[in-house]
Amino acid sequence: MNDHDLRNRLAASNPMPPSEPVDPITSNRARALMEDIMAIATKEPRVKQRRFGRLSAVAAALVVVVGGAALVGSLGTSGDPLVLTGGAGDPMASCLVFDVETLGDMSPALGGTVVELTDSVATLEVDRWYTGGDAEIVEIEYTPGFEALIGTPTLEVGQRYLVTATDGVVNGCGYSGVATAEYEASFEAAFGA
Amino acid sequence: MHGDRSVAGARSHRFENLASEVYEPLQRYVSRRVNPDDVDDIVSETMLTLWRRLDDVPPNARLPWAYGVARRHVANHRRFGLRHLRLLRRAQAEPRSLPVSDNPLDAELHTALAALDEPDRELLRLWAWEQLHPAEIAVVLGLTPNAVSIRLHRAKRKLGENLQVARKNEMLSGHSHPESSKEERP
Repeated sequence: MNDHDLRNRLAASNPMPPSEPVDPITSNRARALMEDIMAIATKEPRVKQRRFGRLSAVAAALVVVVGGAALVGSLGTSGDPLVLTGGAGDPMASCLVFDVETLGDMSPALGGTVVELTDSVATLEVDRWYTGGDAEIVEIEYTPGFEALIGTPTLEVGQRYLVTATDGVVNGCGYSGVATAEYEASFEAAFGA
Repeated sequence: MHGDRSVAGARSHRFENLASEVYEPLQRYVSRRVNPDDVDDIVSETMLTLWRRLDDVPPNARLPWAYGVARRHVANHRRFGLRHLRLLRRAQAEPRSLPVSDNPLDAELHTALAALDEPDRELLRLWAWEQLHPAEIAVVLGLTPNAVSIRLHRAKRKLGENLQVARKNEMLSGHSHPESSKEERP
């Protein structure tokens, strides 16, 4: 079987061929999606802070079980970076008091060192998973003010951080920050490591 | 103030332009890889990431780059197991059910694909389902085009070998695939 035939045979098994209609970009639904995304981003400092540890007013909770994903084959995850969103805002606003019990309920939780930093993405090489993952690399998409949220003046390449997130959003207010011996001891206690 | 509004407007315009190119293909890409119920969430998250990282999107490979973002959200989705955000109330308010194709994998191909490693399967999907060239697949997977070409070549060869084995097994078990039988002839 040559390349052309092989590609055609695979294409014939496509569970969602190009001829299948999808939601068009011109639909009201798509319009609402685009508008909400742009609104969320521009209001991010206030929204993110308010939703610390919770779901925001804009983002309602949904428990999704991806049980049937294997129907079309599973995508390998061990080599894929975990992507988290870093919020921003006034770190003193609406914070829960830090305690180890609350920390222990958070997932994922990890320790890692910043290996690359751009204006919008911090890439961490993970050296310790406390819970909730196995990725070697974590990317945190962040906006200005994220440093304040995690209690550090600046993010730095080579600096090690302990990070927790809830629903894919990095937790601030003392629940993520620069790794120190004392801070690491809290993580050890929280996750029974 | 006017300057800020103007910058924001230009950014929105760029995003809408990008969305018009990637929104529909992204729905198909994600639909091919997860349950129909999860497609909306992953597409929404992918679009949000594209908005946040608009300045990082390579102008000459916008769709493959968007696939790469979606790929990581699909992986996240599976990794978490999953407690998950549904981003958009307004979008939820307008329900839509994605059509699901009932086009089945033929048994031979299914068997042959199942015998491959997942990275090989994903290479082949990107090549055949998304109809991407090796250079575009490289953008999706974060590899070099050269590495993709080599891996894709190997994946195709392995799939071909697996198809032959699957075909022989089918024939031994008394089933024959009409087209396959034709291809078997020298």
